[in-house]
Amino acid sequence: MSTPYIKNTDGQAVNAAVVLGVGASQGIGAAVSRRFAREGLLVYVAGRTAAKLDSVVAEIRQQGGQAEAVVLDASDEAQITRLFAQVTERGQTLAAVVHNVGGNVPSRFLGSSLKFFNSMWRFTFMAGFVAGQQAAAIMRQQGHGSLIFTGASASMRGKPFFAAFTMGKAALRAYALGLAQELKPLNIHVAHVVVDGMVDGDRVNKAVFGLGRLLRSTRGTGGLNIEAIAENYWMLHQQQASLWTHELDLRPYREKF
Amino acid sequence: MSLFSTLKQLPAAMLPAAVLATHSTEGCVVIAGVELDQLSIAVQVQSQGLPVYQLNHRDGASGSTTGYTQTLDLNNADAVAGFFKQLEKAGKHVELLLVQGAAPTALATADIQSSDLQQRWQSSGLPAVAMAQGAIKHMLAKQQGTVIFLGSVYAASYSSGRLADAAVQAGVRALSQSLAREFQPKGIHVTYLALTEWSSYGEAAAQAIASTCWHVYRQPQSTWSQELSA
Repeated sequence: MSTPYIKNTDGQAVNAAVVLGVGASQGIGAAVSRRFAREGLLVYVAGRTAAKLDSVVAEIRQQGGQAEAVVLDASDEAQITRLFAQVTERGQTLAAVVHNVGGNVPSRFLGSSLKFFNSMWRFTFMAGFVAGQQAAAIMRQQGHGSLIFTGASASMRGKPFFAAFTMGKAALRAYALGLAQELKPLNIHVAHVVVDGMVDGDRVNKAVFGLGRLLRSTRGTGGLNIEAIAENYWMLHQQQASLWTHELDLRPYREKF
Repeated sequence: MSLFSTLKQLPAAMLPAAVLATHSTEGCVVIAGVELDQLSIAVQVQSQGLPVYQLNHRDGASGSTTGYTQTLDLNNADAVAGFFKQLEKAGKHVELLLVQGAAPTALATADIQSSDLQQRWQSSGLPAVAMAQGAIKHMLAKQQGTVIFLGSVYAASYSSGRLADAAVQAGVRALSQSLAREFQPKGIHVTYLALTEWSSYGEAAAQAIASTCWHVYRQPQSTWSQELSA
């Protein structure tokens, strides 16, 4: 995939949301896409796998919303640039960008190659930085917009066996919170959401031939519900400028913190 | 009975790592990263006779193989592993590793390019990983050693124009936390030192940093710091 492409181009909404890092229908990216589309935004549903994106777009359209699938590699700066250029070229307002890229991959520190660390840095941090810089540039011109980054427990705490993941996630958090300070006076809302626990989605449930579901169900309340997570993202987008939240942590009531 | 012998009879939890290490002639200090000259001099003053090896990072450097001052590509895992093998062959044990990245430089957020972050990752982030891997593998043989990442206060607090450095340093800080939690139970002390001034700023700053590092190195096991500022 050298360049992103937008297909099923029938969306005419003026206000658009870009959701980066959409995978399975039962995942955070898909749930956020559905939630924003429900409010009348044209949602660019962006991720790596066309079939998964098509499924999310179909769901949204079935509910009367507008969405377009964008197949891209979110760590490829040129593809991200092209996507944002397409949105502005169409005369649409970039109302919100949600960055949900970067999977949690455990590893043994002493057995991990520097190549692995480089790759994790690229996906967990650089992809977010690139999206953030591009979205911020457009939103500065517009004079408004919401930019939401998905974080994890590793954004806050460096735990054993997650050195590579925590490096990227902690860097992304520092970038997001710093960007929030700088863009707030420009009427641009930046927020970092710490998803602090196992998510009740396909990524966990289907891990290790379904053992992920078992593990999740034995932990406290059974994980974070994706639709509930998405509701929080929509709340952030809706907040009044006088009372913006810049960091929001979400966890089931029994999750340790 | 000497003071040293007396100290050795105290419970281990009350003793500084330096004493536990028996301060043998085989011990040594390694300082790795960039802009090391001032720091290296200051650490030598503190090191009480322990030899100090200085590893200057340079992209693509093939590395000299002898001497206390070497130039290596610290993003080359083989080169780093080779350095520790060389020490082991010489009968040295690394008691203290200091890893220093580049001093922060101001850059307006809107102007930060991917290349700026990659450059910082290559000079401060990845070398921290590579050196920690090499040193911890080496230290685990004796289940003792201290790793100190010389970082930045920007890692945990926002400052205008410092976002590029803040992001990379936040990553190194998180790395330090992860390693501390994984390897402290195995006898390896891992600390993040959040600096307000860098050793390259002058002799006084370098001495203050070296002194703080030495304090951390000498902390008894019952009271190890995982993070401090200076």
